[in-house]
Amino acid sequence: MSRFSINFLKDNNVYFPEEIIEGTVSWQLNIDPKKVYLRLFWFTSGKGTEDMEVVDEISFDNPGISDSRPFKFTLPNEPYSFSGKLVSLTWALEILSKPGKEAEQKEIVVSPYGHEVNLTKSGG
Amino acid sequence: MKARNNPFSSRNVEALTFRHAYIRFHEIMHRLKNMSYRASIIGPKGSGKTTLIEQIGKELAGEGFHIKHLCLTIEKSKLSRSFLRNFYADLSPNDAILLDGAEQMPWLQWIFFNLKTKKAGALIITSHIPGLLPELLHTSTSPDLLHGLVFELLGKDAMISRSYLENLFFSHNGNIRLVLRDLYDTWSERAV
Repeated sequence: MSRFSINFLKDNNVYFPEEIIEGTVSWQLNIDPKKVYLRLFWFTSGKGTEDMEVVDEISFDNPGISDSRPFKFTLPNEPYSFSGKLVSLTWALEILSKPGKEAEQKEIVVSPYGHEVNLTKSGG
Repeated sequence: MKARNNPFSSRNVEALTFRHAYIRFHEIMHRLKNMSYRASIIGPKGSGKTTLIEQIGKELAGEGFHIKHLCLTIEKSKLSRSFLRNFYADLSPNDAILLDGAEQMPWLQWIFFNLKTKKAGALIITSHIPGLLPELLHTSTSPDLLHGLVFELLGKDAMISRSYLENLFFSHNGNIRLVLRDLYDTWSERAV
């Protein structure tokens, strides 16, 4: 079974809009990968149809079967992480290799308030 | 409850796999192959037709088919001529067409669609009405099916009564999609 891990330089996973996310990704795969990708994206979840946008992507060249690489993304200024009763917006990083079906995802919070915007109290 | 934590969120519901009382998924695929990959899934609203066609699409993609997914609804019941012209021109035996909501397509357009897509490797449609293509499966629902799906979403220790689910099932005329949306609303009002 393949293993991926995403580690952030920062202790918590809460970021301000336009902040730089830095860290290291590492992997131990069963077969030699042609490419390893790290994606920064957000997605919605809730009652309706899901929405998703890949904001940035890093493609690691000449990846080894067991390897580790640093990464750096600059966050856009929106959208903020939020959650209501009908919909939540979640930011995440995902690492995956090709060929291969496995992936690892790590969620982060992007907000100017130091926590996700909570809309549940106002009926969100 | 926050939307992301709601067990009945569309993400969780869409992750449920198709199930049927008498036939397993691999048997459906076997039947589809014997039908030369041109078949229809018939059933009422909220009975799993879309779930099944999407699952078949993933399986066919795994077999090397290039999936072309079309969806018709009451709001968008017709495909434009220019779209179809390009669509037909690009078709090859490696393509598998999935047409969800085929009963919405006007008859004349359907006749041409059926003819022009014969060069594709597969055409699978969902429809509320029979007769468009040979029937692969007739989907149906039951309180037992709903019970199984809800317990898969909530976990074995779920505190929800069978009679409550049965009432919901019958109040939505067996439309499981509507029942799950109703349950989403109920769970969204919960504190945790």
